[in-house]
Amino acid sequence: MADAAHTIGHVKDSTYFEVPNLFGAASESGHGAGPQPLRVDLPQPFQLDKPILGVSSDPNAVFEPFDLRLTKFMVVELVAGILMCVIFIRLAQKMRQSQSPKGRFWNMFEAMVMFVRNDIARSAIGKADGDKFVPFLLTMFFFILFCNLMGMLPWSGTPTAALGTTGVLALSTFAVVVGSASAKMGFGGFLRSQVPHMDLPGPMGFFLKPMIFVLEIGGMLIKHFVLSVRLLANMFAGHLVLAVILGFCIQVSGMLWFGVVPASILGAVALSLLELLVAFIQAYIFAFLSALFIGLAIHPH
Amino acid sequence: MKRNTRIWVAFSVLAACLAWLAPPVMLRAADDDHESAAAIETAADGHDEAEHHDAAHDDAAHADADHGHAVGNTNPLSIDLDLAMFTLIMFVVLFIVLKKFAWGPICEALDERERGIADNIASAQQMNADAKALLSQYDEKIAKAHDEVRLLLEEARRDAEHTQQGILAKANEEADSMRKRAVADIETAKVQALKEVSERGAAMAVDLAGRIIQAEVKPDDHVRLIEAALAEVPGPAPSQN
Repeated sequence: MADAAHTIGHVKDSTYFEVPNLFGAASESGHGAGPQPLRVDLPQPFQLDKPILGVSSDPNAVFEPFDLRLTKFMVVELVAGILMCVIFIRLAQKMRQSQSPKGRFWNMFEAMVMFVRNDIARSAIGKADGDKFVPFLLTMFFFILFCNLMGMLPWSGTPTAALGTTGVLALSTFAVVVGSASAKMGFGGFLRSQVPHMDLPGPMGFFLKPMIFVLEIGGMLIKHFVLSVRLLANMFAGHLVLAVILGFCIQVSGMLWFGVVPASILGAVALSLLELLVAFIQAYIFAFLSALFIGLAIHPH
Repeated sequence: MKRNTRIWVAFSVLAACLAWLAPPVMLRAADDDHESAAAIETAADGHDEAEHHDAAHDDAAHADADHGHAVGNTNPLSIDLDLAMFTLIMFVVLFIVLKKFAWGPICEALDERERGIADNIASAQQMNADAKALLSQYDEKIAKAHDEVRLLLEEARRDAEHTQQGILAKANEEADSMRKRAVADIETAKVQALKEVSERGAAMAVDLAGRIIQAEVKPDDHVRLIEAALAEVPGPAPSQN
């Protein structure tokens, strides 16, 4: 049980980074006999003594205490954001200078941008309306992709494996869906467009339409919630499996070790490759579904 | 060769890692053995086994508490509002910054490039059409030129034939007239010759006769005689020239 919590603890957010501690002594509370990772605690300049929301005593609360503490995922997100700014502002400069950037690195990013614009925004929303949402979808796609890929770096973390992150991303998609549809047909029009056109006789429509409306609104909320959980579950589960497989290394002892360790390392390598694929697929799915929801909301029929 | 080297390097790194990690693990295994041996010993010593268990359990609980502090919330669906807030700010700031400095210019550049490509294709098609039109124009011109050349040749041949016939006709005519003149000349010459012959014959006859009759005939008679004689001779045909 302690081990399960431990393994999950490696995938979840924390207030410290763990870095290799090559020559450190075996710690008493560590999980294995080898050198324990060095724990680098983040400074907490803003943390409040008393949380604004939530209680710090409940260790497994759904809402963790809101007390302005810095965590590992924030740092990773910040690094991902800075990387995005550096790469894409540079790409924009290059494209403004010469129209077509040279080199594999820049062409790779340009191809991804083109893909998001042509195959996500334009194909799901339509060419005329789609271009308005390209910046949002590009930010969404690359932020998720970079966060997912940051999780593949050793000693880093996967911010998209926390519901706090994916929930906010799904919430911003929801806000864009409601906002864009309301801007197009008014908030009332948006709500009315949730009820599909049906040829119902008067009294039946009177009863059925409110029920359908409730169902549709519920469905819309659920699909945005599922959007966040899908990304969370994929990233969380993938990294948990990696942690478990690598955890085999420290579970075994004796001569068995020599059989298990190579197998688990090879397994972790193979699953890491799979995770790389999943990182791209999940970013694509999140951005594509966001585009689909926006397209459905602004073209209701 | 190179690939083999790489594989060997990777393999030896892996082996080194294993060798580096192995001793502590083996050490732990030895510890475990020692512990179990101790447990057996204590059991053999008649100590309460449950006590030992309790102690072990306590240790584990203690470790759990330690970990609990470090691990924190292990609920996979927990929401950290700090992280959510931070993510929201991060996302909005990223969206604003990148829209202004990256997505906008990139999309503009992409659109411009697409427009450029479309323009290039359109102009290429235009040029192709122009070239085709020009080609057909030239084809037409060449065909016309061919016709003209043929006409010219025909005309030239006709002219040549005409000239040839003219020359031939003229030559024939000239030859004819030359022949006719020659015939007339011959005629004249013949008449002249006849006249001369008759004159000379008459003179000779007169001479002869005079010599025969000597003085019996006076010069006047002479003339008269000659004229009489000439009158008898048929006159020369009038000249055609």
